[in-house]
Amino acid sequence: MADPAGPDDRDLLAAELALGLLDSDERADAEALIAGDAAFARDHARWEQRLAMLFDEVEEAVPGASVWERIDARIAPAAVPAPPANDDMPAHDPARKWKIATGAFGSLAAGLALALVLQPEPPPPAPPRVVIQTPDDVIVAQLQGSDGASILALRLDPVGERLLVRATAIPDGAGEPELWVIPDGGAPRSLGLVARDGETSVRLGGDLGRLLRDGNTLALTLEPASGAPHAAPSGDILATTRLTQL
Amino acid sequence: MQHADAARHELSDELARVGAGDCAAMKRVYDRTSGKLFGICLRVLHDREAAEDALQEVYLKVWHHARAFDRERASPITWMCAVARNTAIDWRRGSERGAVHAAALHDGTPQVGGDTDADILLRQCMDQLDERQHASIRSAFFDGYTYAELADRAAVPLATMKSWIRRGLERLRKCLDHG
Repeated sequence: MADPAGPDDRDLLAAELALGLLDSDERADAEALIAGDAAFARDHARWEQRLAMLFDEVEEAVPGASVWERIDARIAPAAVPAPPANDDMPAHDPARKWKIATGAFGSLAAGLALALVLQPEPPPPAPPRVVIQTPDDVIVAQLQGSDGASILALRLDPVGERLLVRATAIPDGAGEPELWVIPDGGAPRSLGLVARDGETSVRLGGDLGRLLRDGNTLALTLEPASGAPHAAPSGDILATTRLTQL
Repeated sequence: MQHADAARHELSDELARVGAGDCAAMKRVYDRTSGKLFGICLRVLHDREAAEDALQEVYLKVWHHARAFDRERASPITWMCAVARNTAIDWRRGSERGAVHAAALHDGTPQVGGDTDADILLRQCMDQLDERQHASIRSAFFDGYTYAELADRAAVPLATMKSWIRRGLERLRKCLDHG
């Protein structure tokens, strides 16, 4: 169902997306529709609401007491660094979760959230920041090259689990575009490769979502296709922007 | 219904406190919702230990994202349930799905109790579907299977699975929208 014809087909596509039936390519296409088509976004939200009724069928169960203890240890103020046994997601390699467009997360019908403005940093001349507001009040921001032309459009999903990235005009050059978040005073962390054309859904696994916040920087570089996400950037920097939370 | 509205209000208030970093509020939210969210993790993962690990991740997400929750646009418990479902499905995909059996396709026994009008309507509408549609829609929702995976597991051609589910979704939509 790559190109749904009538309104009924579109509504079914919204249902298929909400239910998680689509493979990763189809899902990326459908998610791009959500970003660009308010009517489709509404259909999708309506289906998420309908399907949420399935949660009512789930029988409650009591988790072991250790679960809260582990959570408490992680959120307590001035928590001492957690012992290795309490490490984040013990059975999982966070790097595996950075793969692009393969995350199993459906987008959630919760309200937005983090509003990001991308303030271009040097290289000068600093182009004006651009913030576009869609009909659904979803904040979309653009990443611009040194000439002020838009390179990427970015949108954060409602719970900050995914960043939808749309390539607008990535300059030619050897290598593939890789997106990075640079914590204030820290080392760059890869968000993975993004497609030169069309939309890429970047899954914010582990603590990456938390890094998309005030004061941190996003950067786009050109990197070898193999081995991504890379441990550190090595290629040409196309653009950097500083994040400001509204 | 008034009771449900009050509960929604209260939970939204608690989430606002959680968003501001209030650990005590977090504990209250956990006490109030962990049974439901753990049930969802168990339903997806079919394994207690994995479900507990996933549940921990769910509440850490709630902790970090509560500030982003918009009470005007979503019900707090629905939001949390969706976080639990997505986290558990993602967890399972991450740990290869070897251990999960076809049993998942057949355990759609609805829980009785806590009936709201919406629950009753959904149950009636789901009951109108034939058994395969019913099981496939549940499995997509709770197991995170795509069309291709569902077709594989049911040993039917992809096109057959697609038309089963699409017909089921159409009937579900009609029934839910028009009672």
